[in-house]
Amino acid sequence: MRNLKKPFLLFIQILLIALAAGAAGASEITVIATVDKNEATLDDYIILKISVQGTREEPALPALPDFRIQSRGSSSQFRIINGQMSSAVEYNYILYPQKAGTFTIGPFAVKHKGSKVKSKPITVKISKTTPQAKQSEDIFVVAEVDNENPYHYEEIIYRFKFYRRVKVANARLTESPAFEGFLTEDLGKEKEYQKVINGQTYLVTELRQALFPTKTGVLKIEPSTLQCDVVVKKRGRRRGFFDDPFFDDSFFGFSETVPKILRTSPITVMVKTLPTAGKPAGFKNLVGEFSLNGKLSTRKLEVGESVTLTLTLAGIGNLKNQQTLDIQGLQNFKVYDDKPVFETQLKGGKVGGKLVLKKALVPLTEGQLQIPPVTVSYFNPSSGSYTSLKAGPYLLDVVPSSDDEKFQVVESVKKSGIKQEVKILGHDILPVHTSLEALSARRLRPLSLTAALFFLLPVIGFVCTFSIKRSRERLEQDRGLIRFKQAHKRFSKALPLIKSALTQDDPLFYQRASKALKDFIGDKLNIAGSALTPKELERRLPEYNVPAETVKAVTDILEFFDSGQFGFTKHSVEEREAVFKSMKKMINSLNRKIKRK
Amino acid sequence: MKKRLLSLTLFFTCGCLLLQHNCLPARETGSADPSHLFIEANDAYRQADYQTAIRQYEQIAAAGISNGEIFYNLGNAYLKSDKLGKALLNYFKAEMLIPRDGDLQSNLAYARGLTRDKIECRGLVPALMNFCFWYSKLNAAELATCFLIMNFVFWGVLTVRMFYKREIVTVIMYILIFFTILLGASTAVKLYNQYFSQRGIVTGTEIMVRSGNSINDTVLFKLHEGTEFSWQQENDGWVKILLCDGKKGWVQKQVVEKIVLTD
Repeated sequence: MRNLKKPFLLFIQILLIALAAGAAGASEITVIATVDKNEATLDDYIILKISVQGTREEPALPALPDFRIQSRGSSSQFRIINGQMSSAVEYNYILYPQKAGTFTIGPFAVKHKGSKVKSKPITVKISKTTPQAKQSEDIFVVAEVDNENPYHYEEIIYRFKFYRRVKVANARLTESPAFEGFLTEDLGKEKEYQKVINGQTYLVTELRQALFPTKTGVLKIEPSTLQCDVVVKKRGRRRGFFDDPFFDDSFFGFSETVPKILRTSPITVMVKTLPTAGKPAGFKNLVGEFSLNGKLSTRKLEVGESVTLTLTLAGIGNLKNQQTLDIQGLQNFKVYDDKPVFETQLKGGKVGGKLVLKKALVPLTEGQLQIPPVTVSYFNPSSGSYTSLKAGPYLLDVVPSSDDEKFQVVESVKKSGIKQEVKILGHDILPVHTSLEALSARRLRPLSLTAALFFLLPVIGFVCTFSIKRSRERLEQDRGLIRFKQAHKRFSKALPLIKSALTQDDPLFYQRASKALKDFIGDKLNIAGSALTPKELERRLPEYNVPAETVKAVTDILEFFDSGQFGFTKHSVEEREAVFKSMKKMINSLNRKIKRK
Repeated sequence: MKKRLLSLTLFFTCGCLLLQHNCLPARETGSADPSHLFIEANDAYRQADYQTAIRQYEQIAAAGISNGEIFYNLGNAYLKSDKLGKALLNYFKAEMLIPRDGDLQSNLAYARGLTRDKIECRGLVPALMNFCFWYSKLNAAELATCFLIMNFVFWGVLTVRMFYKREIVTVIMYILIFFTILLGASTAVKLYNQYFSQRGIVTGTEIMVRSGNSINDTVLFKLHEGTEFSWQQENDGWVKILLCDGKKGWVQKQVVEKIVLTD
């Protein structure tokens, strides 16, 4: 532990001394501005480096209206030389010259403790681009148009060419012109070819765009900027065996890449207005060279049938300006336009195309009908004059319709052809409901007694049905119970027969009445009724809680019937009637009193 | 014999009660003539006197005519008076009673489109509502009627099954059990939502949702008129709300209203 303590203290001492020296050095603020070159052309750019030492304040850039400035970031350096510590921050900028002439850049100032520290100003000379200068370079870009003085809407071709005779990598367009005041049309993929300039073979990559000026006067096409890495051989290295282009790749370490920014010159286009003299009526700014063809599907048809007129407008120029072709002065026909078909085509390096329009014509009358000619006017920039194209006229032989149905078919097509999408013109709510029906409140209220009853009714119905069914089943299963339940019913059935024998001096009365009484009691007590004797009744009935007087009455009636049946005594009709009535009463009484055990 | 008599007596009693209940209006409408008020309110609405229309429609509703059309008209009048929250409240009430009304759905969609707060709802409930179409397309009374009919048929089939024990009857019985339970549960949920709703709506133009039930609590977020929420809890003039995206907070009770029918 002691061994380590000494070197640690020594390190701390050295660090303190260094920091003190650094603090002393930091009080000196310097601002140094440098450029990579003092002479450049409009196609070049200048790299400006501002090195600020002693502070991390960023220098304020003065207004440089003659240059477009692009920041390239900053880098920091920290040095200790002879115990003197210094820190510096280097700010990098790229200046793109906008004008030719001699310009002063700077001074650049940094604020420090209330005072300003300035750099020395730099003078740079910007000259116009000379083609010779360009062509003496290994790598350069050129932007051009094939016609700097076109007519309004005349097609011009913009070409961006990238020339190189060294190896490059990562080439990319970082800035492209906005083509303000032009309609643009892409002319496909870039072309790559070789070109010899001053005996030097260059590989050229060319990008093309068709431009249609939509304004007249002076239009400016801004510069395009291309960034790439140029592969250069490392100096002072003898490669010997490796002296082969294959090893030029920086991967092998025999070459290195240098980033390069290339910029084209701006292009000024002077757009001429189209001459007013001789401008045809209905001219739709069609500029170029075009042809017009018309074709009729048939020359003879019936009224109501349709004929198709196909019009093809083809050529080089701004064909998209012409969306429709009208037949002026067409009478006795209904016209239904099909959707125009536009096809872009490239002819001789220029953009053009073909517009195909189909019109369905339905003759409304019969006879010899004429379709007037279709005319299209365009301005030909090469001749500087207007030209009118004509298709037609066409003669049609229209005969009367042989079938009315055919006309109907055409009519139905017509109806579907004119359908349009419903356009929403406004938003609002739908109106109030005004019917007095709104006030009627006749509806089932779910939380009401009615609903509860509706809910319970089928349940009650089911329960009732179930209980009735169950009781019937029980009855069917229990013979004694059936006899008990049906005793009174059977007795009631026997009454008319007894009654019929009552008035006659018929022993059947006694027999039937005795049997009915015994059967009733037998059914009630679930025993054989016919064998019942008064003595047995006296013994059994009290077991069923039948009062003694009722038992006596029963036995008396039974003895009355027995005496009459077996001829011991004769009874008058009145007596028999009285007994019959008292028997009925007694049976009703017994029916209530005898409970089943 | 006695049981049969009892059944018959019950049946007739029920029948008489039903007749008495069903053939009378749901509630007496008070002393003011609702028809007269209704016509006057409609005229006021047509003449763009929306305040009068609102007052009269409210009077009709307060008289006990709990009717979808009245709430719909009331919603329209409120919407025309730029009271979006109240308009939506009444449209929602109307939707409980006349859910299939095309005009109502159109105006409700229009009013919903005017709300300012965009809240992304989570959970399965919206999807489930789409699946249970009968729940959203029928009102509580219609659902209850369907349930009662299904209940009636079910008990009828159960009664038939006592005498006619065939497999097909058993299958029908099980199907009927399913639908009866489904409709019964739907009716119960609908009724619960209708009369004991936990849904609320913002009726104030812009309201502060705070972390607690005091004016000194932190404002968590703001809500605007017409925004729906779940009514969680009430305490001392404050309501705890829950938005369907999970945000919670407390708002003053006077700037919100519960979407509930009072029958």
